[in-house]
Amino acid sequence: MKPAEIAQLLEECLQRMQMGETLERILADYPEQAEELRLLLDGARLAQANALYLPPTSGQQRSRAQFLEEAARQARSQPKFAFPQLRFASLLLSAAILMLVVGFALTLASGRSLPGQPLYGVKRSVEEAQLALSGDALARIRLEDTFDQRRAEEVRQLILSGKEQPVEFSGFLTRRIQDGYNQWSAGGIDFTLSGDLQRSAGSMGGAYVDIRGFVRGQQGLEVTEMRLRLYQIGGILQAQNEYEWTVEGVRLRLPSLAELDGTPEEGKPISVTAIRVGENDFLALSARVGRLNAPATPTFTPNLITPTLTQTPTSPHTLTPTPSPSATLRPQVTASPDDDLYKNNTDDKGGDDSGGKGGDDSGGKGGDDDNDDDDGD
Amino acid sequence: MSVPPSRLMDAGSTDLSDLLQRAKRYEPQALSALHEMFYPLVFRYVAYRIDDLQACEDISSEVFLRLLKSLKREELDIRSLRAWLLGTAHHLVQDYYRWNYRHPVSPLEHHQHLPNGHNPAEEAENRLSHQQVRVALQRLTADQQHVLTLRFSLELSLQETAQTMNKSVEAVKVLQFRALAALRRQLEGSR
Repeated sequence: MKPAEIAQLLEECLQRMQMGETLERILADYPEQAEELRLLLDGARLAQANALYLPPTSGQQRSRAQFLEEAARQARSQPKFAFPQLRFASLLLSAAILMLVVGFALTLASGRSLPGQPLYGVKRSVEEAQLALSGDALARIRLEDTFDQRRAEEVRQLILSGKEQPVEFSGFLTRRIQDGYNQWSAGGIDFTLSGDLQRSAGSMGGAYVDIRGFVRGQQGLEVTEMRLRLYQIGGILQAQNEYEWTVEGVRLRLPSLAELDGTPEEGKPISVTAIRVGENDFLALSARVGRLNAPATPTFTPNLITPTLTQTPTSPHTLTPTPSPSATLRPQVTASPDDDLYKNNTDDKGGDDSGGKGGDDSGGKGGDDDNDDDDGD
Repeated sequence: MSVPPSRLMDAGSTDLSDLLQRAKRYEPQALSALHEMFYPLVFRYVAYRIDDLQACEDISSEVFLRLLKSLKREELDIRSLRAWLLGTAHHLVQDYYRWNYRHPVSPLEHHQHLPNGHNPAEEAENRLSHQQVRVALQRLTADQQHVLTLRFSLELSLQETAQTMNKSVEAVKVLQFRALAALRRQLEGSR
C-alpha cells in the first residue's frame, strides 16, 4: 500500500477507536493490513495514554499574573495617537504637538472640566503627556498624586452638582464607625460598601487604592470596584539595608515575604512591585534584579484584581474577571506580626495579582519556521 | 474535563472574537479570560514534550508574554490564535531542546504532584511505560512530535491540526502515520 493509502486507513481506524470500537473488531475489517495497523494503533494508544497532564494551579496563576502585569505595562506605554511606526518618537511628538496646537488657553479651560464634559478628554490627555515626560520614579509618583487629587475633587464637584457619571479616583483607604456602620473614605471622598466589597476592603485599609464607581447625583458615590494600586518602580538601587531599599528616590520597605529574583546591589538596576501604605511608605511585594521593567510576580498578594471586590456592576466597565474554579485565594501581605502595615484589622484573604516580564517578538504562526524534517508535505 | 478551546471556538466564535478584540485593547478581563481559556491547552502541549515541570511552566508563561506583542497584528483572529499559541509553544520547546541537548531524566517526583487523573496505585504501575513513551517521543523529528502532541495530547481534529501546522489534511495524515511508525520503532528499539 502507498503511504497515503495506509495513512488514510490509519485515520479511519483511529476514528473508530475514538468511537469506542475495540482494536480486534477494527482489525478484523482489514485482515491484510492487520499486522501493520496493530503496531500503529498500539503506538497511538500509548501516545494518547501519555496525555494526562493538567497544569498545576499555582503555575497557571503565576502565569496569568505575569501576563496581566506585562499587559498593563504595555498599555501604559502605548502612544495615544495612531502612529504605529514611530513608537517612542511618536509619543514625544504627539505630546509636543498636543500642547502646542491645543494651546495654553484651551489647556486652562480643560483644567476645570469634569468627567462627561467635552474638554475632559483634553484634560486627561495633557496629564498623560505630562506623565510620559516625567523624570524619575519619585517625580512620577508626585505627579500621579497631583492628578489623583484632581480626580477626587472632580468626584466632589459631581456630587455637589447632582450629576450622574462613572468615575474613578484614588487615595488612602480609611474607615471609621458612624452610627454603628462602617464609613469608608479615600481621597477625601466618603462612601459605604456592602457585601463582598465590604468584607474585602478590610484587608486594604490604610493602603493606597484605585476605585471605580458611579456618582448618583447628590446621593453620593456607589463604589463598584476597588483594588490596591501596584507601583512599578524601576531604576538604580541607590541604597539598601536589611529592612529597606531606596530606588530612584523612593524608599521601599521589605516585608518578610517579599519575593526576590536575584541579589540586589547598590548602583545596579532593579525593578520592584510595591503597594503604598503611607505618604512616603511603600511596601515591596517583589523585585527583580538587573531589570528596569516589570519585576518578578509576587505569589502572595493582598486583594488585587479579584471578582470579590466587585459589586453587581452598574457600570459597563468592569476591571475584574470571574475567577476560575481552581483559583486560590492568597494570603494577604501582613504575614509578619511585626509589620505595622495597615491601620485597620485585616482578616480577609487576597486574590490574584499582576506581575510580569517582557517577551521577544515571534512573527508568523507562532514564530520562525524551524529547520527540522518536514514530513508529509 | 473542561471543553477544549477548539469546541468553544466553534460554538461561540462571535463572543470569542469580541473577547480577542477587547484583549487587543489590553482590557484585563478579556486578557484574563483568554489566558484561562488557553493556558491549559498550551501547558498540556508543552508538558507532553518536556518532562521538567519548571520548564513547562516557564515556557507556557513565555508563550502568553509573546502573545502580547502579537496581539496588535490585524491578521491575528480567534481562529489563528490557537495555531499561533501552539506554534509558539512548539518553537519554544525546540529552543529548549537546542539549549538542553542532553535529554533530561524525567523528574518523576514532579509528576507525582500533577493532578493527572491517575490514582497513586496506577501511577507507580504506569510510570515505566510513560517514561519509555516520553523518551521515544523525544527522539522523533520536530514535526512528528508536533503532530502527535496536537492529535493525541490536545485531541485536535485533523482539520484543526492541519490549520495549526499550516499543512493540508492529507499531509497531516501522512505525517501522523510516519510519526506513529517512528514511535513504534523507537519503543521496540528500547526494549
